[in-house]
Amino acid sequence: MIENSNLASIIIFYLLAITIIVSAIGVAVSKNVMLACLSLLATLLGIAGAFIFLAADFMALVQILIYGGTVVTVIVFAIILTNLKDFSNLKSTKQAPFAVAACIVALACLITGILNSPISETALKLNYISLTFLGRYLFTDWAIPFELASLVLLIALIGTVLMVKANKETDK
Amino acid sequence: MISLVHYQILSAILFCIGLYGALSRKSAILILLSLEIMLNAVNLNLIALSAFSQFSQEQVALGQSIVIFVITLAAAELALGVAIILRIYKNKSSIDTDNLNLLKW
Repeated sequence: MIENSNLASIIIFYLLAITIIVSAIGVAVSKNVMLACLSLLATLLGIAGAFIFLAADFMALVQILIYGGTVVTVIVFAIILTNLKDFSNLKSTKQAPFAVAACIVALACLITGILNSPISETALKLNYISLTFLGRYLFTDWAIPFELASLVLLIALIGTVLMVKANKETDK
Repeated sequence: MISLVHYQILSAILFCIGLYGALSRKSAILILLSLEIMLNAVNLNLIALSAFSQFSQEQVALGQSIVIFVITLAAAELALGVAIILRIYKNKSSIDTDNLNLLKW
């Protein structure tokens, strides 16, 4: 059990929250595609910081390695391989006002639900589990889903290679 | 005092920002970026719930395991999504979602 009721933890939490939200807004509305990509990186690193703050240090490591290291690189490659002219006018679609309305309604519903749920008020202390415990849990109780996840990754890899591979008959 | 409700509201705001991006963007790659934000909002919610609740150690490990699977499937989804986008780009020379209306009649 870890206490987090002092002033420093409150300041750190709000700094992290502001970083995450501002960079997420940057991803959603930025006119520059590389800026959007770097904002996504900032969002993911901010969430990794929040994971550390929630005493889930292994998850923060996974987040930085997979999202910060791989996902952003893949997206930068996708931007390089497609035409940058497509990104020159990044105006939002005609349905943007409806999107704003839908998001405000969804946010209102979510926050109403959160504030009325009984679980939100109860817990004020953090639980910590060790990496050894998590690994043992993952390889005993969740062994079959774990192996299935590796199968899913293999199928996704093969499918990706097949899909991007040059096909002489259909391509001109 | 930082409690569970702060993280839940942060995660709800993040999810709605991702939803807005996914609904309003024109470029397919930027829609993928917004989808990643939505998945991360769910991950943050799961980690916060498992960390704050007075659960047993196994239930905390359950929350973190689900996040591991979400990250795995998100990586697979992103790889396939980028492959599909590159394929569409090869065939139509554009990834603007307004041009992808082959199934419209």
